[in-house]
Amino acid sequence: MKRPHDRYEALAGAMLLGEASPAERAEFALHAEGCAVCREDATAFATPIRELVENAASSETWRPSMTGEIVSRIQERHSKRTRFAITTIGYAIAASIALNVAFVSGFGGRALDAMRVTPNDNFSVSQRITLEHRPKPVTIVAAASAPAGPRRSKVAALRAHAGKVTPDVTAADEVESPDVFAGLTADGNGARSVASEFPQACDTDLEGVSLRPEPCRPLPADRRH
Amino acid sequence: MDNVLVLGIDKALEAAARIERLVTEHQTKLARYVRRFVNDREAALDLTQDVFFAAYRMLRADPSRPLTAGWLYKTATNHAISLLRKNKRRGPSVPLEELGSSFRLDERSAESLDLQRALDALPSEQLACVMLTTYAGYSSAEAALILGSSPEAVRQRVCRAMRSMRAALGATA
Repeated sequence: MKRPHDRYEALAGAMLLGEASPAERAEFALHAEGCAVCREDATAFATPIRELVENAASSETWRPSMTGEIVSRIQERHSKRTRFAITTIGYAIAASIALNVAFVSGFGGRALDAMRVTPNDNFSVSQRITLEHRPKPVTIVAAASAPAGPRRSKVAALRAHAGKVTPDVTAADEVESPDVFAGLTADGNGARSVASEFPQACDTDLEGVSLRPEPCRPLPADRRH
Repeated sequence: MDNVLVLGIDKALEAAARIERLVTEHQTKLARYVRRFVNDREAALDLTQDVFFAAYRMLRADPSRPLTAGWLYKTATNHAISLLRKNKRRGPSVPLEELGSSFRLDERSAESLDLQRALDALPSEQLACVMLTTYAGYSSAEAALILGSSPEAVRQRVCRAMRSMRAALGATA
């Protein structure tokens, strides 16, 4: 941003440099009458600062001669650039040859062999995949497979499995004669007859199972021992 | 291919011939200008060589390009201002010439050293205006062209610089 006084500073500079026109001198003189700073500048024009600087320039005796230095520097620069270019190209060619030799004959060849892929029929993608539904077979555990141990153990196992005990089962009912079971299994019909007599007991669903066996029937007389 | 090589050699020869003429003509005045600017003889020599080398690079690219003394002073001024700013960041340094009488140059009288101190105290923009208009002998319009400024701004900076220098020289006197 230009201040109003900048104009008179520029006029003072022009007067110091001897570039001010008569009109500019008159303008500055008119302003300097009412401006202390510019009045001081006007009185200071007598101080030969400019002449001092110009005399310092003319009284210089230092005469540097750098023609030879600059020419040699240019030549040096050119030779440096040429050397750099030749060296760079040489290194690039040497590095390329070394890389080729090392890659083809050395570790690179083994690496290529290791990476080579051979087709394998055992893992063909087009192999057929079949899905087969196999329902879980429902097996009815026959009483014949039960051990021919005491009746108490069979009933206890069923009770534990069902978690439910019928109220009409008594300890007396659970005690069966081992002879009866022995007779049933001896005639070969025991398995069928027990399974038919305890169908619910042999099934997985034991809801409403009655553990009361039917009364034992006496064996025929000819089959008694 | 041969034509390109011949053209390249011709360009280099032409640039070298032109730069030799420029160096012969301007080296002394430019080096003194730069030394007054940076107040260091060795730095002034290096900086002046850099300016001529930059001119050579330009001429190498285009030998027919007009290259005036104004371009040399502009480049030298920009280099010198950069160096002064770099030195200011590093801290003040005393040139060898001021350390003892054995280093004092013959042309650097006590008056000249006072003037140098007054110049050193100026801001770089004001110093460039003063150096171009007084030491290098350019008008304010030419200095404005070199610095990329206006003639009024150059005159104003010269006025302010003279005030500061008057105060500095009056204090030392």
